[in-house]
Amino acid sequence: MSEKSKKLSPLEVYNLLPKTNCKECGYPSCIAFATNLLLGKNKLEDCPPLFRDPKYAANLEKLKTLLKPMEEMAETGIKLDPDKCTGCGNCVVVCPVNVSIEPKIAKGIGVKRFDLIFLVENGKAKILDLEKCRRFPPERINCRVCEEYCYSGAIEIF
Amino acid sequence: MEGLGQTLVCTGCSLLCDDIEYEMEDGVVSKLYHICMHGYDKVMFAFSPQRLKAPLLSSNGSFREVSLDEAISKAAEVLKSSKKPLLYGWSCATNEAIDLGLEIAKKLGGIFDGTMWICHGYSIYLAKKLGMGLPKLEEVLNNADHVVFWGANPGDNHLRHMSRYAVFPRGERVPRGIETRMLSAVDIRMTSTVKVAMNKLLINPGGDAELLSALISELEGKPIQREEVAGIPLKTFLEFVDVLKQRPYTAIFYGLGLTHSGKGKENVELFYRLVQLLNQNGKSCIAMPMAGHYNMVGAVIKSLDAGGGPFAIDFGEGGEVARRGESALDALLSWEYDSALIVGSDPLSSLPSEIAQRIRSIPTIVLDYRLSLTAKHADIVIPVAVPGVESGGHATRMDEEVVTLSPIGGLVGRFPSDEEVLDKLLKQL
Ligand code: SF4
Ligand code: SF4
Ligand code: SF4
Ligand code: SF4
Repeated sequence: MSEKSKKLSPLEVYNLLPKTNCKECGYPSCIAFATNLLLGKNKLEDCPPLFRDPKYAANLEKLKTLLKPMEEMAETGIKLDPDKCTGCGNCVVVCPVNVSIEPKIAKGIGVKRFDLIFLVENGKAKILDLEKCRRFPPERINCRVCEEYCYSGAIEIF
Repeated sequence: MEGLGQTLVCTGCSLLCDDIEYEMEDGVVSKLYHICMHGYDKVMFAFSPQRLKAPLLSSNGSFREVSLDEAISKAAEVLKSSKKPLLYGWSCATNEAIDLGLEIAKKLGGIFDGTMWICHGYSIYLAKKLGMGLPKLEEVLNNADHVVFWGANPGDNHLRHMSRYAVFPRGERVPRGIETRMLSAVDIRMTSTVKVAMNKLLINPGGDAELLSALISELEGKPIQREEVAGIPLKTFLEFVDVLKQRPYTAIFYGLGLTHSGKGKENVELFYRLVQLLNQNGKSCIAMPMAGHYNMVGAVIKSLDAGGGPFAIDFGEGGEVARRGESALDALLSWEYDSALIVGSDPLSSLPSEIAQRIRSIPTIVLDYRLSLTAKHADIVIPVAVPGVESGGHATRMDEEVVTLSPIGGLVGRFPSDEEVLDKLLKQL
C-alpha cells in the first residue's frame, strides 16, 4: 500500500480534541469520538465545545488540515485503467459491496446487474456505481481490497 | 434481441467458464459479460475478417476456394493413399472430435499425437498411475483454506481461476473468502500471481526439486540444516512449512513452470510425493495441473484410454497399439509418417524447426478457424466453427468435469464443427 493511504491514528486526532470527555457528542469519551471520526461515522461539527470555545480554535484549524485528505477521498475515489485490465473479475468477486448486492457473486458466478460497483463487460471491468463503495459516506472505511487483488494493477485508489 | 439472457461456455482455456452472458445485434455478438480478455478475443474471432470462411485447396503455390465436399473428398484421398498418417492436435477439439480422430488413426494405422506432451500429458498420466483423483473445482472453492500456485500464473493465463473458483469466492468452510484463505505462490519471478500472494516463494531457476525435497524432508520430521532453500531464506521456507502443516486443506495448482523446468519428470514425481505425504499426515491435499487449451484434459484422458500413454500413440496394422511415446518430440522427429491431419493446432509455429520442416514436406490437411502458419503451408484447409460459440459438443475441464458446450443458437450451422468434418471424412475412408 502506498504512503498516501497511511491511516491517521485516533491518538493524533484525540490529542487535538478538548479531552474533557464531556459526552456532548454522544460518545462516552473523546477517544471514542476520535476513533469513530476516522471511521467516517461522525464529523468534527459533532463536537460542539470545539467550535464554541475559542481556546480550541488553533486545534480546530489543525484538525481540519489533518482531516482534509480524508474528505477529499470522496471526490477522488477509484480509477480503473481499461488498457491494463484483463477482465479477471477479481475486483468483482472480492468487493464486499458487490457480493452483498448479489450473493451469487460470492460463489464466483458472474451475474449481469447494473447496480453493482464492478461488472466485467467485453473482457474489461467497468465501474458502474462508485457511490456504493465503502470508502464513501456514510461508511468511509479505508477499504482497498479491489486495488490490492487486481493483479494487472488496473485499479488505483487515491 | 436474439439470445438475450442465455449463457455460453467459454472455450478460451480449460476453465470452461459456463456463466458467460451475451447480447446479440444483427446476428453478431454485441456484448459479453463476465468473460475475461482471452475469452473475449476467442468469441469475437468468429466475427473477425481474418476468420477462415471457405475451404482452400493449394495448387501451384496458391490457394483456390473449393466446396466443403470437394475439400473433404480430397482429404480422404490424401489419407487413403498415405502409408502412415499423423493425426495431430486435439487439445482444441471437442471430446466427440477426439473420439473420431482416434477412430481414424485406428482405421488407417496412423499416429495419434498432439499438444498434450507440451502441456500436462505426463503429469496427468502420473497422477492417474498413483491413483490420485482430482477433486472438482467447486470442492476447492468450498473447502480449501490454503491455495498454492506452483510454477503457474493464472494472473496471465487462466484469468478467472482465482475469482471463479480457487481464491476469492466465499466457500462453506472458508466463509470469508480471501480473508480466511491463505494464498501462496512458488515461481522464479515476480509474476502477477506472486504479487497478490501472501506467501511469496521466489526460487532460483530450476530450484523446484530442491524446494520439494526440502519440504518432503521437513514433513518426514528431518529438519533441514541450511541458510536458504533454492534461493528462499530459511525463515520464509519454514513459514511455508508451518502453513502446510497447519492448514487442514491445501489445494496446489501447478503449471509448466514446475513440469517443464529443470528435470521436469523428476519434479512431477517429487511433487506428487509431497502431496501424498501431506495426505498421510492427516491433511487434505489435492493437486491439479493448470491445463492450458480448452480440452487439453479431454485429449490426455482419451489418449490414455485408447493407447495407455498420454500422447504419441502409434496404431499399427489392424489398429493395435504398436508403440506409445515417452517423448513425442522424438517420435515426431523419427517416426515414419507421410501425411498429416492437423486439428486446431499450429505445429509449424510451436514445434522445433526440424519437425516443422518435416510436416511442411508432406501432404497436410488442416482444420481450423484461423489461417495459422500451419494452415498457410497446408495442402487442404477446412474452416470449422469456433467451438462453444458456433458449435456444441463436450469438453473436459481442468478438473475432469465434462462440460456441455452451449453455442449461440443463431450461429450454429454457419460452419461445420470439427466433429462434423471428421465424421464425413471417416465415412469416406
Ligand atoms: S463532545 Fe468533544 S469534548 Fe466532548 S466528549 Fe465528545 S469529543 Fe470530547
Ligand atoms: S474499495 Fe472496497 S468497497 Fe470500494 S470498490 Fe474497492 S473493494 Fe469495493
Ligand atoms: S481486478 Fe483489475 S484486472 Fe481484474 S477485472 Fe478488476 S480491474 Fe480488471
Ligand atoms: S478464464 Fe478461461 S474459460 Fe474463463 S473466461 Fe477466461 S478464457 Fe474463458
